[in-house]
Amino acid sequence: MNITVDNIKQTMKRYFGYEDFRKGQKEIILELMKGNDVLGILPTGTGKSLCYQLPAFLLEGVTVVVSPLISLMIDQVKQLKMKGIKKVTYINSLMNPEERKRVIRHLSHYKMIYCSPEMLQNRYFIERLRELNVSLFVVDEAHCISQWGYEFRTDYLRLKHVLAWLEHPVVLALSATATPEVQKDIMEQLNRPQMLKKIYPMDRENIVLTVEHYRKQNDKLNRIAELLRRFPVPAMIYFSSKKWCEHAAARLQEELSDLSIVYYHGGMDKEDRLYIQQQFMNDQVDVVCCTSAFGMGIDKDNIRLVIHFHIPANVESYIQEAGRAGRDGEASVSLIQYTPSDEDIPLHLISDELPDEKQIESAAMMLSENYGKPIEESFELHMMETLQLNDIQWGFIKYQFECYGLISENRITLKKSDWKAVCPDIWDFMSTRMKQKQRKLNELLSYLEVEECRRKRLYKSFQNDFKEPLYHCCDRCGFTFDQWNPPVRTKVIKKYTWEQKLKEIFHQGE
Amino acid sequence: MLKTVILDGVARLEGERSPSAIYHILTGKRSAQTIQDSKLFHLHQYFGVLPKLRQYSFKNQLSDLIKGNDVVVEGDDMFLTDVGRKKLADQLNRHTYLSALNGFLYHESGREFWLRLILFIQAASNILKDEHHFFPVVEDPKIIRWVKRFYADHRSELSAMFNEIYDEMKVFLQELDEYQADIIVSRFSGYHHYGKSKEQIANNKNMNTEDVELYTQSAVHFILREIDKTPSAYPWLKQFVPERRAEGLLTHSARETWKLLSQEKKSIEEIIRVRRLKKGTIQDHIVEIAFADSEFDISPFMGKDDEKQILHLLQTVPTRRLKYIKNQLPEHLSYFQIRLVMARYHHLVSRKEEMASP
Ligand SMILES: Nc1ncnc2c1ncn2[C@@H]1O[C@H](COP(=O)(O)OP(=O)(O)O)[C@@H](O)[C@H]1O
Ligand SMILES: [Zn+2]
Repeated sequence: MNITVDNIKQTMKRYFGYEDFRKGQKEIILELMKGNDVLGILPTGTGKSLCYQLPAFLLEGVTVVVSPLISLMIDQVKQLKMKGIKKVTYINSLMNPEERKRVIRHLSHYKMIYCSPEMLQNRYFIERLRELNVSLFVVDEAHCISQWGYEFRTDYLRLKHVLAWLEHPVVLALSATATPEVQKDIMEQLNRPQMLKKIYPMDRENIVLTVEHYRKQNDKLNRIAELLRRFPVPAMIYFSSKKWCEHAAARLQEELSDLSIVYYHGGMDKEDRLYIQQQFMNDQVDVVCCTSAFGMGIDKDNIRLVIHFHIPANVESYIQEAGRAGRDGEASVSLIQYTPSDEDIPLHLISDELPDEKQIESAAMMLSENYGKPIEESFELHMMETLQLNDIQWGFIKYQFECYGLISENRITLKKSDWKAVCPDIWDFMSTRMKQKQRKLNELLSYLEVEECRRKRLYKSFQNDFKEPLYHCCDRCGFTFDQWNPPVRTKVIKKYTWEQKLKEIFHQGE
Repeated sequence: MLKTVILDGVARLEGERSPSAIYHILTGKRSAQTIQDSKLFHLHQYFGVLPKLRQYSFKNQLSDLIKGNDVVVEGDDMFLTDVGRKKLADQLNRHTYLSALNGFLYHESGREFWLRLILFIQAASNILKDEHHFFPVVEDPKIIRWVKRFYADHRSELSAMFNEIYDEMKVFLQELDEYQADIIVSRFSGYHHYGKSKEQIANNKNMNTEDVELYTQSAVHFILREIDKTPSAYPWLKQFVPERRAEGLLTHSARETWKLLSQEKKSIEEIIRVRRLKKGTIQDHIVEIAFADSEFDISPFMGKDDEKQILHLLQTVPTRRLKYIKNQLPEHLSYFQIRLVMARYHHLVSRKEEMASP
């Protein structure tokens, strides 16, 4: 195909309204257009999605995007539709079965199809994909394929087979954080050893890195209140539990009546989450107390301060979350708050991600009682409920059983006697995963304790050097909040009557 | 408030049903039993007003009421205490907005009306300021399609129409009390402005999200009733009201039975054969239909005298317990027949009440 950089630029301008490429975009898109597989590592917020959205419209055939972040996929489809690009859709396990069927039935109407990894198990879906001409296959958050990564998803291991089944379309694997070890694993697991690597450094020269130690949890909140009083800037505060999010938001709001402070977590209504997200983007809200459920798809460029009230579970998550600060290039700060034994929380969360031995054993028993039957959605839901498994845990069990042939073609082929033979292997695998996660946590803990420059340590396992910081470097290099002068927006909180609010919305009396 | 609604439910169902009957009515469960309960016990105003109510929130509220000694639950029975009765009267007086609820009639159309309205207001407010990129606050594709078409049909007169909708809205809002009007308007989004989420309002006003929903629903039902009364007064807003169909409240399966019964004039025995269902199930459907359709003719199922006899008993006994009623009647009258007459009786009473009220 004969497409020039100019052609690509024109299409970009027409559909997306951007004048120029950002770093990495042109290089990746050109390779894809030439038919080469690409592994792209670009820091969050640099515009990874354009790297496939644009080729999707230039290439003949269909582009499939696999992404584990369902809310992000919904947002992206909405945004594309807002831009007038209509032939896009998404399909995931949260949709009701009828909706899902409707989309699958009309699959050939679309240029671009987003799907979540569980859909790769759905044979009907994959067979329909095969009938289409899939020209580009995108693996978003590609680090999920690696057991060495910080976020492993068993469904990603199916990708290799799906690619073969689709007769080897061009592949683009994307991630914001992948160590060289993980990069190698991605290429091996996808069975694409010839992939071109396009790796861009992830250090952010306008973000200052700081860590503070306290004695009690309450000291942390007092410190946050003090900082926000001094610097009333757009801020995100990360917590590891919903309870803390709500509690902190209420307390901070009480103390700081001039700011609008809200909370956001995965336990909220979809509708409520959407409103909070949009209010924050729209500067109606100043501070969001959130869990890691927030932030995906948050595309706000003036966040000045990201605080981790609870420590993240690994360096990769930390880099991603802190990286939401200062997209506009202005001086921004990332602060991690630590009190002794804070690591207990992520340790606990880690053990939550995997099923325990008893759950696996009970699952095996339940399955063997239904020997020969197909696994239907209602049966899966029933299993998850009786054994108290979340979907990640059940996904893990199912995949393990498939690997050992205890489930095949979505039918139960497990007999009690088989189980005895494979269970030691599964235990082994689990304990390896646990150790891996703990190693990742230790990496972060040791980052908190470093005596030398934090920048040097943080990016060490990802890249060889880093850019000169634009403003300040880190607390170890002498930064204190006294040196920070972020632009502060003085906002008058208006107390409107409903009549005034209504007038404003309806543009009356202007 | 949800607690008031639950108290009211207990008051009307006491001694007759268990607490879960209230839950099913609030969530608008499509079962013959629930549809009948809501009519028989005059709880239809609450039918389906909180479709997303979680079982545990309901249980929490109920157990608060039990702890506060307002309600007593023993096994499958529940009663209101004197304290509870006083509280209920007092709260119904204070929360007059609850009386505007009419779930049976509006729970579905109301929700659709509301979503169309808030999405349209957001869209028009943005577009009139030349902002075409905004994040729609409603995700339901059906609603989005409707708003798009409505917009396309009136694109040329958008500005004038928006002003007139403002006037129509304002009339309604002024009829509400300040507190409720404020809740409704806080939920609207517009140009560079996103409304408050239910949870935010609940936190600000120190109530539950269910209460916010009740305030919203009651305002919407109020608007719908006014539009029904004088549609010509609301030339724009009336167009947001979705069409209602009489069979709307029937379970899907009952609707099938209805078709066979009324359109194809089949007998019960024939329907049993065609649909391969049990006799009891088909009878359930017919009772359901009798409750939904006030014109439904029950004479094919019993003689005039039998009907009169049952009707007479219903007018004299205070309870709606089937077993009790059956025991008072001659052996040959079946549960099925009794339930059919209950449906007739229900329609008779409602018609009388309607004529009595201004
Ligand atoms: N070439 C470009 N010029 C200007 N803005 C861009 C460009 N490419 C992407 N963006 C914007 O950058 C933001 C981040 O893009 P996104 O793809 O979500 O990032 P990532 O997936 O890398 O985190 C989006 O708001 C997008 O519109
Ligand atoms: Zn430094």
